[in-house]
Amino acid sequence: MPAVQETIDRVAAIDVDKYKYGFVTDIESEKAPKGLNEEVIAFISAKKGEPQWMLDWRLEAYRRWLTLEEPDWSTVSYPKIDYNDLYYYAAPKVKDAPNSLDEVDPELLRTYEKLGIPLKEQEILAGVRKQGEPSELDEAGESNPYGRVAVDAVFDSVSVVTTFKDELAKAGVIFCSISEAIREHPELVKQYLGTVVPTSDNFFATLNSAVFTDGSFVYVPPGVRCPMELSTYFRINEQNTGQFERTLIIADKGSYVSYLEGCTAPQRDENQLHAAVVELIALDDAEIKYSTVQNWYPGDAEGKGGIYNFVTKRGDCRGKRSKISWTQVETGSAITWKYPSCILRGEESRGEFYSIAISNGHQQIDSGTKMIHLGKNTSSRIISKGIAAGQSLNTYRGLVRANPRAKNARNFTQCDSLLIGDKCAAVTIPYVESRTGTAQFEHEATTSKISDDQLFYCRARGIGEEEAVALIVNGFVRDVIQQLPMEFAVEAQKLIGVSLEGSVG
Amino acid sequence: MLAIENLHASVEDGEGTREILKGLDLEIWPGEVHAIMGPNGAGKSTLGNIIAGKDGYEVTEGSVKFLEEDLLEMEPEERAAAGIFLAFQYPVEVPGVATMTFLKTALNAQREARGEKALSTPEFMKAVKGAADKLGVKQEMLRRPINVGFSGGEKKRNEIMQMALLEPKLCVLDETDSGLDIDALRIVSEGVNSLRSPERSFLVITHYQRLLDYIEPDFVHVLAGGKIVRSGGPELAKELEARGYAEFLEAA
Amino acid sequence: MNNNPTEAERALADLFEARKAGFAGTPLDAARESAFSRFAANGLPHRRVEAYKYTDLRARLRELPGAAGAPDAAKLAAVLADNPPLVEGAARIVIANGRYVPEHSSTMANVTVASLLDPAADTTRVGKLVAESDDPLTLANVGLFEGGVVINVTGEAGAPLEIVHVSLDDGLVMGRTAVIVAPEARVSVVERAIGTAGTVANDLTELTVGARAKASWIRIEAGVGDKTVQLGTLHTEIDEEGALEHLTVSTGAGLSRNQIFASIVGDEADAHFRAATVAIGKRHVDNTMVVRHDALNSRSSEVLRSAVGHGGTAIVQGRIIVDPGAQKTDARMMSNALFLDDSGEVVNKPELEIFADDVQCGHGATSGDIDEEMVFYLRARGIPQATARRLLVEAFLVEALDRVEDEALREGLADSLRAALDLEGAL
Repeated sequence: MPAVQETIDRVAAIDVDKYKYGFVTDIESEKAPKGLNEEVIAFISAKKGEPQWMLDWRLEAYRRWLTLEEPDWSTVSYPKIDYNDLYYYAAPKVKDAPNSLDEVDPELLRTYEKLGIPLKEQEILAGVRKQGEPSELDEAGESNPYGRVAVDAVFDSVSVVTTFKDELAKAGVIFCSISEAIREHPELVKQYLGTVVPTSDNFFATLNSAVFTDGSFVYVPPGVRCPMELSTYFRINEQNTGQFERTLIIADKGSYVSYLEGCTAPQRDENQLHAAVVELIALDDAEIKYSTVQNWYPGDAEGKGGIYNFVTKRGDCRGKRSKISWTQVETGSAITWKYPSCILRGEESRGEFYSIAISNGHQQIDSGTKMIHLGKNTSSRIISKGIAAGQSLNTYRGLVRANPRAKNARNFTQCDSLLIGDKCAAVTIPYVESRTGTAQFEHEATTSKISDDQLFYCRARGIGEEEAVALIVNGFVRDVIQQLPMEFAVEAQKLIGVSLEGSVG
Repeated sequence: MLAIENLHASVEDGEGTREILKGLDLEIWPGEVHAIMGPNGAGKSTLGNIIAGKDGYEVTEGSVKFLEEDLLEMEPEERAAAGIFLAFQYPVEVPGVATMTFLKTALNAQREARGEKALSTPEFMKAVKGAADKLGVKQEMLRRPINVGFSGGEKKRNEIMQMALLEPKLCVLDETDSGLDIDALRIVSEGVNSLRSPERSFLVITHYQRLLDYIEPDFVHVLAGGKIVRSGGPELAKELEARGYAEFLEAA
Repeated sequence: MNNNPTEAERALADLFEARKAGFAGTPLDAARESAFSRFAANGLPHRRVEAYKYTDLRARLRELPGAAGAPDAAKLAAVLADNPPLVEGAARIVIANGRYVPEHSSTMANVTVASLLDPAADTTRVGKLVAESDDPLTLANVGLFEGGVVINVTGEAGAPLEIVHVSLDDGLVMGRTAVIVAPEARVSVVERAIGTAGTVANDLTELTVGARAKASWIRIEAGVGDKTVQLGTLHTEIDEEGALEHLTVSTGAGLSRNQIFASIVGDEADAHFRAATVAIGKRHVDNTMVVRHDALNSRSSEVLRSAVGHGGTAIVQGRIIVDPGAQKTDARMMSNALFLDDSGEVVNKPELEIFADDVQCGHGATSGDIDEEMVFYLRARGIPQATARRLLVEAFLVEALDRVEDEALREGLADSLRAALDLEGAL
C-alpha cells in the first residue's frame, strides 16, 4: 500500500505540534450583533432573504431552546459556554452574491487554495490536490476515479461558492447552499427540513434550528445516480463566532449520491462553537454515502483553544431497501460530541457507520452512532476505531435497538480502541437493546495498546518508532479507510500521521 | 431406494434468488454406491443438503422419492429416522452438548420414530463403543462437546462413526475427503467400506477422484451446471482425473 | 428527601423513623443515619439514573409490603426441614426475615460467625467496602438492615458454607452479611433464598478476600412467583494473589437485580464471574456488574448466559474499569442471550473504562435466536426439532456452570435451570 509510505514521509516531514490549517484569513466581514435573542434571529433570517415561514420555524425552535438544559451525560467536560457572548452570524463582505468564481473575493479563494480545496474548475478537472504538490495517485500509478468533485464552500456563516452547478442541473441534481434552497426550492425544504432531526431533538440541534446560517442542500431526483462526488468544505474564520450549518440531503427513489465534508478552523486561543445539524433522507432503493474528514483546530499542546464540535447527524432510511452509510475520520476539535445515526424504517434498509476517532493532547471525544431498527429485515454494521494518545479521552458511545416489529434485524458491531501512552483513556459504552427474538445482534469490543512485538518487528527492520506507530495505526484503521472515496482516503491517512505526532516517547 | 426426477432448486442469498439445480435426475438402488463428481459451484453440496432437508433451498420443480415416499414433504428428523444420513462437509460445532448425550438422544429418537424401544444405557454404551473403536474415536472425544475443538480429521471420523452407530439405509457423504490427510482418509474409507451391504446405498459427493480409490463406486456421475451431464462406471472418474472438468463446463 | 416521594419511599422513611429508637447500639448504627439520608435524598432509583435505566425501581416498587417481623420459630423449622442443604455436609447459616437465627445455624473449624446486632461482636471491618458507595440499594440496606452476620474465615474451611435467606411472611426484608476471608484462607459459599411469593428482599453482602486467599461463591436466586422481588448487592475486594470465583444462578423473580461491585486491589489477583439466567414470562432479571482493577497483573472475567421467552426480560450491564497504573490487566466479559421465542427483551450494556495502556480488555455481547445450523445438524441425526432446541438451550445455559467443582451441586443447579425452562411450557 503506497499510501502508508506516504504517511510515514509526511509524519517525518512535518513539524510536531503544528496545525497546518491554523492561519487566519484577513477579510472584512459583516456580523450580527453579539448575543442571542429574537432580534438576532430575525436579522439572520432577513440577511438570508427568508420567507416568513422559515423565520417562524426558527423562532419556535428558539423559544423551545430557552426551556432546555445543556446535556451533561457524555464523558466530555468543558467550561460553561456563554451563549450570549457569541456572534451567530458572520459573512465575508461582498456587494452582491457572486455569479461566478471571478466575483469571489480573491482572499477567500486563496484561503481555500491553502486548505487544498480545488475550487477552480480547471483544478478540479485535474483532480484533487494542493497546488504545486505532486499527486499521490499518480505516484501510485493509479488513475483517479473521482476526477471531478462538485464543491460547496462555507466560510463562517455563508456558502461562498458552489461549483459544477450547471452540469449537476443537467442531471436534475440540486446542489446549492441551504439558504438558496429555502428561496428557490421551498417546497422541498418545507417537506423535509426537520423531519429527521426535529427542532425539539436536543439542546444543540434546537439551537441550530434557531440560528443556522448556512450549509448545503442536495436533492437527487428518482433514478439518478449523481454524476460526481459532492463536497462541502466548512471553515470557521472569525473570532468568537459560532458556526451553525445545516445540511439536508434527499435521495429520491432509486437514486445514489456520495457526499464529502471537510472542516478546518484557524488556530485561536479561545474556544469556538460548532453546532451543526445534518439530515439525510433516503427513499425506496436510494443510497446515500456521507463521508467526513473533521479536522477542526484541536487546541494547543496545553489544551488551550480549539473547536467545540457538538453535532447532530442523522439519516432516515425511509424507503424500502434504502441505504445510508456514514464514514468519519475525526481528528480535530477540542471536544467532539457527535453520533451520526440511522433510523432503519424501510423494510430491508441498511445502515452503516465507519469511524476513526483520533484524540491527542487534551482532546475529548464522545462519539459513536445509533442504529434504530424499526422495519423488517433491516441490517446495520458498525466499525469503530478509536485511538487515544497524549492526555486525551476517547469515548465510543453507541446504541443498537430492535423494536418488536423489526423482525430479522441484524447488527454487527466491532469497536476497537488503541491506547498510545499511559495518560490517555479509552471508554466504550454500547447499549444493545433487542425487543424481538428474531433479531441477531453481535457486538465486540477490545482495548489494547500497540503490541510491543509489532513495534519491535518494525524497528528491527529499521523503521523509527513514530513511523512504526503510524504504520501500525494505519493497519488498525484500514477497515474504515477503505470505505472512504479515494482522495479522502489519502487525505485521511496523512491526517492520522499528523494527528499522532509527538504521541510517542 | 432414491429416485430424483427433474429436480430444480434455487437458493436465496444476498444477491437474490439463484437457480442451482436445473433438472437433475438420479436413481439409486439398494446396495449401490454412486459417486457424484463435479467442479466447484456445480451444485454438489446443494444436492446433499436438499436430500437431508436443510432450509434455505426452494425446490421449484421435480421430485425426490425415498423408498417410495415423497422425501421433500418430510422434516429433517423424519428423513433421518427413515434412514437418510448426511455426513456433513463441515460438521457443525455444538458447544455444551456432550457427544455421548447427543448420540444417545439421536439414536433413541430415531428408534422411537420407527416404533422401536429405546436402548438401555449398557446397550447404548456397547453400540457406541463398537462404532467408536472401528473408527479409532477415543472415549475421551465422546465426552467432549460435539465437534468442539476437534481437528478436521477427527470431525470427519466422528461423522462416519455416527453413521456406523445409526445404521442408515442411504448414506450421503458430502466431500468427506476434504481436509483429510492420507491416514485419516484411509481410516474413514475403511469405516465406510465396512458398512457396505446389499441393503445399504451410498451417494459419495467429491471433487477429487482420490476418495474413489478407497471407496470404489458402482456408478460415477458428472454434475455440472446444475444437472448430470454424463454417467458411467468407475473408469469415468479416472478419465476426469486425467482430463479435468473443462469440457463438461463447456457442455453445461 | 426528594420533592415528590412515592408511597414506597414514604414507607421506607417511616420505617427508618420507627426503627431509629430500637437500633441495637452497635458501632454499625453510626453509619445508618447518613446512609439512609443519602438514600432518601434521591429516593428509589428510576430510569433517568443511568445505572437503573433498564430497571426502574421507582416505577416498579410503587408500594412496598410492611417490614417482616421476627420469624415464627415453628414455621421456620418446617421450612428448613423441607429444604436441606444443597451440598452434603455444608455448615448452615440461617438468616430469617433478615435476622440471624443461631439456633438453626452451625459452623466449623476456622470459621467464626457473629450477629451484626451483637454489641460484643467485632464489626470493625464491616462496612469498609460500602463506605464510599452511592448505590441506592446499598444505602437503603446499610440504613435499614434488620440483622445479619459477620463471618470470619481464618484458615481452610473444611466444608462449604451455606447461607440461607428465609422470608416467611411476604414482607420487606433486608439482611446483611459480611464475610472476611483472612490471608491464605479458603472458603466456598452457597447463598440461597427461600421465600414466600410476596417477599421483597434487599440483601447486602460484603466479601473481603485477603492476600493469597481463595473464595468461591454461588448465589442462587429464584423467586417463587411473578410478585417476588429479589434485590441483592455484593461488594467485594480481592487482595494480592487472592482469587474469587463467583456464580449467580437466576431463574427469575418478578423483579430481580443482582449487583456486583468488585475491586481488585492487590497485584496478581483473580476475579471471575459467571451467571446463568432464565427469564420467562413476567420475569425481569438484571445482572449489573462493575469490576474495577486497581493493581498490577490482575485478571477478571465475566461470562453471562441468559435465556428469555414469553415476554421475559434479561438485562446485563457490565462495566470494566482499569484505573491509571493498573498495567497488565487482563479483563474480559462475554454476555450471550438466547430468545426462546419472538417475545421478550434483552439488553446488553457492556462498558470499558480504560485508563492504563498496557492492558488486554474486551467485551462481547450477542443476542438472538438459537443457531439454525446447530438445530439442523441435530435434526439431520434424527433428533426432533423441539428436542434439539431444548438440548441446545440447556447446553447453552449449563456452560455457565463450568467452574462449579462439586458435581452434585452442578447437576442440581443444572436441574433448576431446566425446571425454569419448563415454566409456561416455554420450550
